[in-house]
Amino acid sequence: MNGPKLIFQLPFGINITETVFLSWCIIVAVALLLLYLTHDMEKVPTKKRQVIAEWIVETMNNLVKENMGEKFMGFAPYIAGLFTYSILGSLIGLIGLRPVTADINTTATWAVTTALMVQIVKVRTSGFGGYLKGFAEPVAAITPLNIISEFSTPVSMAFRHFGNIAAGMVISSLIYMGLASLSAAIHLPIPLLQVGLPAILSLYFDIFSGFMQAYIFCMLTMVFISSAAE
Amino acid sequence: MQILDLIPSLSPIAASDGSGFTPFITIELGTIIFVLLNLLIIYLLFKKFLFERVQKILDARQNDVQAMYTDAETAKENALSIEADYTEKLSQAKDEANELVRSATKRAQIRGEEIVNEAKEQAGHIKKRAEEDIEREKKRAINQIKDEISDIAIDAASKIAQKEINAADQEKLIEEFISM
Amino acid sequence: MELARAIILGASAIGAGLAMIAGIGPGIGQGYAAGKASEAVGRQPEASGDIMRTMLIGCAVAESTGIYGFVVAIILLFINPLIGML
Repeated sequence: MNGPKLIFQLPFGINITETVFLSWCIIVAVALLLLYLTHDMEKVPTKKRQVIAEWIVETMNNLVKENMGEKFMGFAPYIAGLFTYSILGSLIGLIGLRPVTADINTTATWAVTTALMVQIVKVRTSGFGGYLKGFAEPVAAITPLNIISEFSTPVSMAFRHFGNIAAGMVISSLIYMGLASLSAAIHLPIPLLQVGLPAILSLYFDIFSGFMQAYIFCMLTMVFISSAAE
Repeated sequence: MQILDLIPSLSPIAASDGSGFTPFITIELGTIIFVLLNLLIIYLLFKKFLFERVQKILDARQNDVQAMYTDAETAKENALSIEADYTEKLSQAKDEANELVRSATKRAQIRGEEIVNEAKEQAGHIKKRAEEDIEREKKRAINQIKDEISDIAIDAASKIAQKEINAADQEKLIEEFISM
Repeated sequence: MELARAIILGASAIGAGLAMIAGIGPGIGQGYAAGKASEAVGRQPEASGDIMRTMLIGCAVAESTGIYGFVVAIILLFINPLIGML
């Protein structure tokens, strides 16, 4: 199993891979969609797209308010963006592209961003001294464990999302290969057995798993950040 | 993957093992940088193009609704005060009308009584005058009759005096006088 | 040398498979948590939002061990660190 394809190289060893290229495609698609949804809005909504736009905003605002409280309402666009990025990044697997979220660099970047936000919120809430003292809570002896848990949070978040999508991708391609060789074994001119079963599997691995992981990732981000403020 | 193969200029240049693929798990600095940038961009996109725009619309609508409520509230208050005014005026008018009717009735009664009294008085006057008239007429008639009787008596006396009175003549004279 | 390499690759694959036994624990734990959450929602449907959130966080924490196993398996399969030790 290979990682994302390398497209071209920039100096200083910066590689542009398939993941980055597809991310750009997602960004462009999201930008166009948002511009379409919100262009010429009216006070009295007459168009369906404005209703959809308002529904998205209200749903995200409610979600953030419920999970993080009023003072973190500024996170709503970030959560919405992260959710959309994650969903679309997983769903492009449906059209035969390599899911963006099946690249550990993507999910690790998101998870590290979340972890950094958590640290910043902690420092802001209790000051730098209080932040350092927080590691020695409840007793000084478990300080190493606290430090490890700070690191394990982004690692587990990153690997959870990556693992689910990548495992789905690996299993899907294994099944494709297996069905192809099975079709060849019973002398079918075209790999007819590839019709049907992969669709059901992709229903689970791409759609259900993609939504679930995006939801869990956003949920964990919200909960970790809001609990860091306590 | 197939789509990317169709674009020649985007075809893979090189990878560490020459296959054009990066390893399944590896740290790619480029991916990390660009994913971070993309996250920032997507956040800004959502913020600028969705949340702020929709929030603006929602706020405008909220203001409208608030204004509408305030308007309705003031209108209701106005209507209530006007209604109270009207009720007061109406009751005033009713009172006035009652007063008017009462006074008019009273006046009419007084007037009617006056008229009746006047009529009675007048009738009394008329009756009195008529009685007086009758009395006068009576007196006049009596006087006239008296005059006539005296005239007749004088006539008769003069006629008697003119003629030699005999019995026959006298009878004739009396008959003449009576048949006159 | 080739034989050693083959043995290491095979052993790595077996090791990866064994590492994924770690998936049993989170599976049981998360199933138990989900079952309890369902019970809780049945008792208190109005608190379903809180229950859902708590369950997800609990599952996420419980899943960590499974993910560590998964990481070890991935490393054994795709990075093959043991070959470098030959």
